[in-house]
Amino acid sequence: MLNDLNDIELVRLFKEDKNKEQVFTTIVKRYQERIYWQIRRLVVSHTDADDVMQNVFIKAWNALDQFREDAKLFTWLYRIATNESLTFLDQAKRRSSVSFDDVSETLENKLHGEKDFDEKKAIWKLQLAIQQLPEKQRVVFNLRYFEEMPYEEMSEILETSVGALKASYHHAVKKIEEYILNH
Amino acid sequence: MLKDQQNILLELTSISPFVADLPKNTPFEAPEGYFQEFSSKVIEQIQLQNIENDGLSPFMQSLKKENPLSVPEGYLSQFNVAIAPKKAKIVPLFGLKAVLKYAAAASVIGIIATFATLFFSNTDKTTIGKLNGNTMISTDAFALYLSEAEMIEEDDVLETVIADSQSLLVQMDAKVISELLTEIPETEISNYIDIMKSEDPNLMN
Repeated sequence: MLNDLNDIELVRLFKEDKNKEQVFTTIVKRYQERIYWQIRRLVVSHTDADDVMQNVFIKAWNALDQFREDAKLFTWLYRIATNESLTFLDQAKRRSSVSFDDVSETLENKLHGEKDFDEKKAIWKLQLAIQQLPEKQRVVFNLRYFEEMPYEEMSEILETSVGALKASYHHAVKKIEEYILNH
Repeated sequence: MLKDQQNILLELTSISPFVADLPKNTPFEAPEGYFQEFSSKVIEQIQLQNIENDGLSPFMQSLKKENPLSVPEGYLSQFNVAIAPKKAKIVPLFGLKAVLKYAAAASVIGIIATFATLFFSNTDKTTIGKLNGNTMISTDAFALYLSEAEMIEEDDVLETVIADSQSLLVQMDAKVISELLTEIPETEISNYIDIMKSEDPNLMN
């Protein structure tokens, strides 16, 4: 029944305090997988991704009453997820008191610890190359390459101009190509 | 949607055909049943958060929301900070003090220069006068004048000294000398004699 409602209708019900938990469960189930993979590609390990996921949806619960109906629910959730992931990485960097390069190294080590990891396989090489990118380029590349997200939608999530996003994506692809060919 | 996907692939191929050929799937795996359980896990967390908030007494909850402080009516709308315009410091081009300072220095220099000019001009004039005088008198005449002058001077001086000493001797009779001696203490006289003896032993014999 609730699954048949669109995002706007679900948000309206939530604001009206009608079956809040069921409404919210419907929203979570609708977007959890896409949100999870976006987070997982950024933080690499499942444990970290799970922590960030819970934070994202608790924040969404607390702020959904103030959500504007003219905005897209999915874009809004994606923005929270991206911000939470970057905050998580930033906190990890501060905890270990190391530079960003060392964080990339940590992410690379996490990749090595993944099940079925094989650095000779192109699929893992691509992941290793992505971890070498600067934060912003990594987010842009993931959204464009894996999520196939239009620049306009990406612009809303990252609050960056379309031109700047295109440039970031271009640089990211070139760096990935260079990394894979040299490794 | 399909058009978007095609555009994205075309864009990627134009940037790097090599990357465009790479597999698009993610190698990561989520634990089995994770997505079936996740929503209930989140709801549990939210309920826990609500219980923590509900754990507060109604009084404490009301404190959280209500602000006991009040602002006078219209205060914020009329609020402005009155900042007095800062007066710029006036720097006179010709300050009285500076003028006086330079005037004093100039006057001192002027006085020194005047005296120096006068002094050197007088000296020069005297020298020139003497030189001029010398050139007008012949050397023989000048030598004769000097010899005569010397003789006159020597005679005059001698005569004057003799006259003066005689008059002194006349005036210093025995009575005056005894009076003078009475005024001098004996100790000083004996000291004087001792000093004289030590300087010239034959003097007092």
